[in-house]
Amino acid sequence: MIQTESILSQENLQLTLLCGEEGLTREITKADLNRPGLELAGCIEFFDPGRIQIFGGGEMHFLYEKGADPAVGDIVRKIFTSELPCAIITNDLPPTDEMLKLGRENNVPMFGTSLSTTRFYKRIYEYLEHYFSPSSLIHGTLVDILGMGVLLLGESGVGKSECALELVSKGHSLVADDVVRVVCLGDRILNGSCPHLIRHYIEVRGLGIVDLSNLYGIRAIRKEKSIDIVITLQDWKPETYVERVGIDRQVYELLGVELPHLTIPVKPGRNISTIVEVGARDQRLKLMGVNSAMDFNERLLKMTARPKQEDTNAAKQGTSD
Amino acid sequence: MDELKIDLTVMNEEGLHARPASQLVQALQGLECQVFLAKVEDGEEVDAKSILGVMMLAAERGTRMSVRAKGKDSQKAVDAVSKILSDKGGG
Repeated sequence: MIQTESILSQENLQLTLLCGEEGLTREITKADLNRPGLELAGCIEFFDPGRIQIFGGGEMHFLYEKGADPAVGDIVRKIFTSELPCAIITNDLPPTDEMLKLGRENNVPMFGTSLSTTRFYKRIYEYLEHYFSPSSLIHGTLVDILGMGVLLLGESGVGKSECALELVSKGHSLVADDVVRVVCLGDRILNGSCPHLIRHYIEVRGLGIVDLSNLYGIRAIRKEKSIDIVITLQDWKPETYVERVGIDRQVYELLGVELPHLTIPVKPGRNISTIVEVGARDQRLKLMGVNSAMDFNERLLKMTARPKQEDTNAAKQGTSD
Repeated sequence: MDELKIDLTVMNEEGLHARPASQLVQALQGLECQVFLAKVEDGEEVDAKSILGVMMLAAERGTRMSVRAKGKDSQKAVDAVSKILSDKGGG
């Protein structure tokens, strides 16, 4: 939950407070927005007072013309005496005197913005989505490898942080070590970031906690990154199933989103960071439509399929003879 | 599989700072179980075997914490966590 005041500090929303300063502590409880056109036209039964109310050009011009109608005035009163978090007027349009009066009387924060309604909708939704989308803390490490967000999972002590450190020293960047805040944006994008307190820090067994931004400079760190692939590091045991070809697509589900998933067995002598880097590169290739394993299999099929054809030809010849 | 869950209060004067956090992580190292730690108020769990995870909670004295352990050594893990969290001195 956030207070109405917080949207005022978002510069890209270009908001100015018109009235209702005392109401800035009102709480925004959902990311949903409403344009009260339907309500102003008389249909108030389905009005949801929990939503931010956005008065666009349509609503305002309706009010300039019909605001004097007692029926319309009554509805405006109903809207402004409800628990709404705030009212926002777009396109720099002036509020009606009635709106200002009601806003002041009921301490309803009312803002004006120079943005058009559509643009404003998009921007404020983007902002609110961060607060109200499903989110979770994941025990893992998130690195950016050539623009691919790679989430490393695995039990503690398996070597996630060490792998991340090696990747950073190879020139890639760290988003979060050990604790990743994952937020699901727009139902399909998982955005990973680092909880503020431990940002840029990494724990390396034997060294303790080190600050990567100081050690490697700004290029070593990233504030947030969308997650493109999950790689699980797993202690190697002879009996565990390990992918050997890579034709079958494995997925990992996180907050309802399916991500490509690789499992990499860890054992002494295997350079995990290189394997992870190649995994990320290969995934990037796949996104661009190149699937190495499939290509290889097709090449193989050409070889293995040919003798069969020759066999049948030979068989045909055999029968004709 | 054994799963245990208890709630505790942080007793350490200075809260769960670096030293008690590292004691905690050290004590859990090698135990055959997963251990999760969360503040009761928000319930967001972190891996108690991760030093950064434990420190990220920034739990001050008096904070109610919930501990959840899953696996063979879960009893040992819960005992170890409660011993460290209830230690007033620390560090």
